[in-house]
Amino acid sequence: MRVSLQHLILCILVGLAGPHLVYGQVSVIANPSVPIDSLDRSDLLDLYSGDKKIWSDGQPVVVLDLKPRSGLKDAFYKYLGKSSSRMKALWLKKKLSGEGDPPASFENEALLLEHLKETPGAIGFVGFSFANETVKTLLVIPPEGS
Amino acid sequence: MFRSIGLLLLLLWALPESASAQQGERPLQLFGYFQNQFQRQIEVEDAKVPGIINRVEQFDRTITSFSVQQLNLFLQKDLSQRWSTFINFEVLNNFSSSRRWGAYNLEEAWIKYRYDRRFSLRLGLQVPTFNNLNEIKNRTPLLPYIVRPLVYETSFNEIFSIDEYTPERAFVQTYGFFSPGPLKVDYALYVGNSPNINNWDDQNRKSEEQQTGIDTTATMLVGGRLGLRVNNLKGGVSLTRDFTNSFKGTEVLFGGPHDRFDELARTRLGADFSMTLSNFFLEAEYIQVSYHENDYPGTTSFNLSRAFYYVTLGYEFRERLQFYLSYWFIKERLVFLDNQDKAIITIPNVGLSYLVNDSIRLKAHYAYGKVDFEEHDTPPTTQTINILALAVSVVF
Repeated sequence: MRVSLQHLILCILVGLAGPHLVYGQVSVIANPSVPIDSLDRSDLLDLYSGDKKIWSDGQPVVVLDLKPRSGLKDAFYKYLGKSSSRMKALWLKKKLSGEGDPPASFENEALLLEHLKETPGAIGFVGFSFANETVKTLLVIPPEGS
Repeated sequence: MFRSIGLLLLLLWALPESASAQQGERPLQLFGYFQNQFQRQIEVEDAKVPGIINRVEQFDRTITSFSVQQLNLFLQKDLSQRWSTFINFEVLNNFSSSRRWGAYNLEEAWIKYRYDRRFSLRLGLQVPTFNNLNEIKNRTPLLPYIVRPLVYETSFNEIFSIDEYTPERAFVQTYGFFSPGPLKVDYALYVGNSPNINNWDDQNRKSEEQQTGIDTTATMLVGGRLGLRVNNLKGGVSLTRDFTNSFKGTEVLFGGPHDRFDELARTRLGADFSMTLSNFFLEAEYIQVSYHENDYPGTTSFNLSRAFYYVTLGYEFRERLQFYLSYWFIKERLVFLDNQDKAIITIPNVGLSYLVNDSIRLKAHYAYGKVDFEEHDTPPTTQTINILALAVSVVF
């Protein structure tokens, strides 16, 4: 098969960009038991920074994260206005001050989704195509630049 | 006092806890961190020789040492959704009881009730909120520094009294924040012991009172912080007031009644500011300590002031490497009769910190310190300190 020069250059550029490629839409999802149907950036930051720990119905908030650094994770934290490292520092400060634990983190979106479906009060984020009718979609973060 | 206790008991009784909130008990957690370091320190002191013009004698020494600078062990248990407990043990400086090295302290032991973000109440031994760094000054994994900014560095206690600048302990603290729009307004209010704690007298092998560790007065420390957060900006002001007996016995110098320096009022005023902008971070704090007494006509006024500030500017590269420049300053001044005692400490410093992973942080720090002392009736002295330190900080 003949490969055009433009195609080859495009593949090289995609390979170099690696996990920092601009990501598509990110879906913020929650267990169906969560007593809200939508939220905004400020609410989301409160949840992920540990400022809000209990839902309005008294359920504990369970925040989920992805472990490896990826375009999806970068896009999510960029939307919150914080880098991944700053969020980690914030969680570590809370942990070492007795004010809360970091989110549970998962190796990939499938594992996160599975845990979220089984955990009342859980909230997390996945790529748009991962969200389905078994979970609540609270917010869709548009791609960067859109 | 009994009315205050009664109000507190009423408040605790009235705190609501729903059935679902009583769930949420979690197993006991054990975790902690330690920081090991290597430090090379060069001290040089220039003392002017009295009576000989331009004659300066110099004394110097160099120290290199490895040490387990600090280890903290935490126990935490969530008793329910709203109640949790926390205990913090700390060991310092190669602690060894048989060799009498270092120290072992109970740093925190408290129980917390959290109603919501607006109201939490902690009861028990705790580090009070004051400026930005006080609560986390001993949380070495959180700090890029190895040597901490002056008043937050316990090893500088031999040079000046660091606990004059920051409140070390409180026993009741309420805190939280309110969110009017995009702003977050933080508050904290606390009470604790005065600084007049009964110590064990090692030389005479006795203590003043029957128990050590107790406050020997009926006064208390009260204090608090009010802060604002918006986006990546944070700032606040802090205030404490307590009463100190540390100047008792100096009435002979200043005149006045024999109890002139009993429970001298002390006020600490602090201000803090921090921000992040892209990969840059900036932190700054200011602390002023003042002492207040009644006027005594015909006697020498007691005029002691202490001031401290630091500024740190840093850059984070690829979320792993931090580089920073920092400047620390202290000025202490005591004026009485026609004399003035003064000490000025300036320390510019620079450092690097590298996050190997979520648990391990490597640090390098260089500080150049200059200490100028002026005491009445003695020649002024200047001391310089060069410190190069390397450390690894581990969270487990």
